[in-house]
Amino acid sequence: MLRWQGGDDSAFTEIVDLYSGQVFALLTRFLGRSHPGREDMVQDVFLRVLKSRDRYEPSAKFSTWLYSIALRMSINETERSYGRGAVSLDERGPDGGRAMDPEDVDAANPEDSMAAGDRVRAVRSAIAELPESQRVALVLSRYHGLPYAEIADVVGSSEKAIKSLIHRARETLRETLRPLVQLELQSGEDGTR
Amino acid sequence: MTYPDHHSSHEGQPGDGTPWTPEFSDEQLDQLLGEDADPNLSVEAKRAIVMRIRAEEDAALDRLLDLDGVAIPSGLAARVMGALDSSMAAQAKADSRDLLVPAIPRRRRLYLVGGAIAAAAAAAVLAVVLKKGSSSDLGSGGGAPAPHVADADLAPSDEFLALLPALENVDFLIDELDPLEADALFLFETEDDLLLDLLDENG
Repeated sequence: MLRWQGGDDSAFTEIVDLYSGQVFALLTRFLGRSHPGREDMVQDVFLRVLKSRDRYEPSAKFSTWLYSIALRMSINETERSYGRGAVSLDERGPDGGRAMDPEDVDAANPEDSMAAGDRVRAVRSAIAELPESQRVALVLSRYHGLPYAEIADVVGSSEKAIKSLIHRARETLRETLRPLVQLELQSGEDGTR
Repeated sequence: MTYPDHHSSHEGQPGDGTPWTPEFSDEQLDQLLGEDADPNLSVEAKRAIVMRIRAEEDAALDRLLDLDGVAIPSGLAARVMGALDSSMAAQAKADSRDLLVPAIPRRRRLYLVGGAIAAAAAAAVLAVVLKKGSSSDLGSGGGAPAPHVADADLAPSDEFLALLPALENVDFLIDELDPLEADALFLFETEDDLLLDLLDENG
């Protein structure tokens, strides 16, 4: 980013190469796989980066700043979706959960067995049911590898709060997915014996 | 029950106060639990068992979470760059067009558009009034047919001619405005300073 600010235009291409996939994945996890405008939103995220070239200050990591933009846009998009009625209120859980559609239309691996497909859907559904704050923290931590401090910067919270959110998210998932967790444990034992 | 005394002391004994190390095998644990389903374990032993179970569950949960992958569309970065290039080119074009009318601030342009619309409306009203006036004059003139009726039908109406310059201005100036501004223009009076101030700030 600093190279780009210094006038090296090729640095921006590198930024897009490096982060467009991550931004797409983030938006997918926040908005759901059936959301039609994810790729356009990736473009919008980088358009904002482009327009903020002169305003960017390296007080935080670039990825933190980028994820903040993507998160804000996905929250706005979710609110717009509610406004349009694209997601019924019945689908909203406590604390704004279930903002995304757990169904995947593009990532199902054809080699997966039906049982594996069911497990994937169950996992996505369980994540989608999490309250929004827990889901955001879990996704950034588990799937994007952000440390607690960085997640706290992205969502504007404290490191301690993030740690608590992730803990609660995992506890909820452990309960929701208990039958699958037990199956995993059994298959692990079968594999080792 | 008391615990069987067949474990080597270096592993520690559940309930004897010594740390229970992970070396305590699953088979030994199964054997132990088989002898007593409700063993009187020490707090440390219970904690160790719970921690071990939780660690295994955590690992199983992580394996499940790993199933949730996102397929990144191929060529995404190239398409994003292409779209950004187009967007920036369009922006540059708009900027260069703005350079042609740099001296007209956004607020003034709004006034101009508003003024043009008002002028167009006034011209239309005036033309209609004048036409009505001339028609009534002819009517009161007593039965004489209007001259050059066919020519009058072919020629552009007075209203239309009066509107032309105003419409050209409106067309040009509306092109300069955002859709929101254009909508706002038709919703609000141009004297609405608060709205114009807001548009100035956002512009």
